[in-house]
Amino acid sequence: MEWYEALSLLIGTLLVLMLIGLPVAFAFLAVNILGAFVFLGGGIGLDQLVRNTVASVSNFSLAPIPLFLLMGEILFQTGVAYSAINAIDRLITKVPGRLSIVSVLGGTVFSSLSGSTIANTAVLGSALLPDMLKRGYRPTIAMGPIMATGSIAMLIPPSALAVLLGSLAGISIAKLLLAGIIPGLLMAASFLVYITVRCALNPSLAPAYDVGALSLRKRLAPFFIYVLPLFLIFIVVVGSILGGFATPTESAALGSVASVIAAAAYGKLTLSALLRALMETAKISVMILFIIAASVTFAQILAFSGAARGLLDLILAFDADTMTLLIAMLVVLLILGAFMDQVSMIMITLPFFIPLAQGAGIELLWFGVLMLVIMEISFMTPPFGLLIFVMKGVAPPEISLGTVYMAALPFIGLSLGVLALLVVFPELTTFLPDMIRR
Amino acid sequence: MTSLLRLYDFTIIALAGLAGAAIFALAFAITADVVLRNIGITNFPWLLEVTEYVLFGATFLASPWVLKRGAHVRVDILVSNLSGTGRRILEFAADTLGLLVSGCLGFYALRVALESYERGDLLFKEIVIPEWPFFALVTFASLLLCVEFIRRMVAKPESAA
Repeated sequence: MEWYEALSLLIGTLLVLMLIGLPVAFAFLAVNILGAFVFLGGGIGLDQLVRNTVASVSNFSLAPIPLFLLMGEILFQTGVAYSAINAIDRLITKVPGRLSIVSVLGGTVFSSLSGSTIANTAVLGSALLPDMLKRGYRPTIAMGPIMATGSIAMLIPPSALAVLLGSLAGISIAKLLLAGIIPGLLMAASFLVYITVRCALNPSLAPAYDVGALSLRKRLAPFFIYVLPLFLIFIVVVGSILGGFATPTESAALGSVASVIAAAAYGKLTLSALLRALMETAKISVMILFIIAASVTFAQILAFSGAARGLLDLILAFDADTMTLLIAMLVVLLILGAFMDQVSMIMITLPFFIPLAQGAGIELLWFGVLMLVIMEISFMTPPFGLLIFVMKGVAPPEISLGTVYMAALPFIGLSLGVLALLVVFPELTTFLPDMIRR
Repeated sequence: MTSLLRLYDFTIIALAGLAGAAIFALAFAITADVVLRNIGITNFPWLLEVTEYVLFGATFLASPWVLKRGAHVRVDILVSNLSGTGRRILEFAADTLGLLVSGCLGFYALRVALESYERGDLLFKEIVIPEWPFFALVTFASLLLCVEFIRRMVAKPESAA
C-alpha cells in the first residue's frame, strides 16, 4: 500500500468514526484495531495494541493530570473558588464593564489554582453570568470574557494539558508549565484592555449600576481573607518546580494537599463536597487518560504503515523556510481545533509535527507553548469549541448558539494577537523556564 | 434482570469512586514522600510504580461509569444537528461500533493475560508482581463497557441521546 493510501485509510476512518459520534477514544481504538490487522500482522499486532494500551497510561509523567484536576475540583466543589470571586467582585468598583472585568480577574486567579478549563468556566459562568444578564449586559460582553478566561486555565500552571503535551512530545514538563505563565497573563491583560475600551466607547454593552457604598475596609477585607491566602497554593506548586526540589507530579500532589488544607481552614471541607470533587476528578481524568490509552498505538501505526514518513517527505520536499513551516503547522492545528478535542489534536499531529519542528531547528519548548496557545483558542472556536457548549449549557435558553459564537470571536482575535506576539518574541516563553534552579 | 442491572450500576459507580479515592490517596502519599525525603527521614521508593498502577487502574475501572454518564469526549456536531430517525440510526451505529471495539479489546486483552499467566511473566521493578492482572483488568473493564454500550443500544430513544 502506498503511503498516501495508508494515510487516507487511517485518518479518513478516524474522522468518519468521530463524525458519526463514536466517543473519540473508541474511534482511535477502532482505527488501531483496523491498522493492527492491515499493517501489524493481525493477531500479533492486536496483542501489541493491548500491551501498548496498558503501558501508555502506566506512565509516571502523566500523574500531574489527575492531581492538578483534583486541586481545582476541591476549590470549586467546596465553594472556596466562589468566595474568591466574590471577594474580587467587592474589590472592583467603577470601571466600564465591571462584571466582565471581575470575570477576567477571577478567572485568572482560579487559573493559577486549577488545571481544568471546564471547572474554570463552570465557576465563572455560574457565579457571574446570571448577574451580568440580570443587569442588562449584552450576551457578547458577558459570555466572551468567561469563555476566554476559562480557557486560560490550560496555559497558567497547574495545567493538565501542558503535562500531557510535555509528556508525549518529550518536552520538559516543568519548563512547559512555567513557560505558559507569561502568555496566560498577556492574554488576560489583552482581555482587560479590550473590555474596558469597548465598554467605555459603548456603555450600553454593560450598563453601569450602583455597586453600593462600602467602606474601604469592607471592600479590602474579603480580598485578604479569601484571595491572598490562595496564592500560597500557587506558590507551593510553581515555587517547588522553580526551586528545583519537586517534580511536576510532586508539585501537583503538594498543591492538592494544600487545597484540601485551604478548604478545611475556611471551614468548607464537607464530606459531600469532597466526594463530588473526587468523582469529578475521576471523570475528567478518565476523559483525558482513556483517549491517551486508546490513541498511543495510533502514532506507531502511522509510522509503521509508512504514512508518517511519506507525508513528512512530501512536506520536506517543499523546502519551506522555518517560519512558513511553523505558520503552516499552527494553521493546521487551528483548523483541527475547530472540529476536535485537544487530546485528539495532540495525538494526530505530534507524529508529524515533532520531527518537522526538530528538523527545521524550531525550539521544542517554544513550539509546545504555541501549541498550547492554539489549544486554548480551540476551546472557543466554532463549531466544536468545548467551552462554547459549556457556555450554552449555563446560559438562558433564549441565547442562541450563534450568539455564543459571536461572543467568542473578539476574544479569539485577541488570543491570535498574543500568539503572533509569541511567534515574534520567543523570549516571552523561554524567559521563566530558564530560571529553574538546577 | 433488574437486580442484576442494579448490581452492575452499583459496581461501576463504586469503581469510579475507588478511582477518585485512589487519586486522592496518591496526593497525600506523594506529599508525605516529598516532606519525609526532604527532612531526610525516609522515602518511598515503591511510590513511583504505585502511582503508575493507580493511573492505569483508575483509567480503566472508571471508564464504564464515564461512558454511562455520557462524558467520554465525542464530536456530536452531526448527531446534534439531526433529529428523529437519522439521529437514532447514527447513535445506534456508534454504539454498535463501540460494542465491537470494546469486545475486541477485551478479547485480545484476555488472550495476552492468559499467555502472560502461562509464562509466569513478572514485572520486575521495586515491587515484583505478576503481569497478567493488568491485562485481565482491561478485559474486565471492556466487559463492563460492552454492557454499557448494549444498554445504550436498547435504551428508549429519548434517553439514548
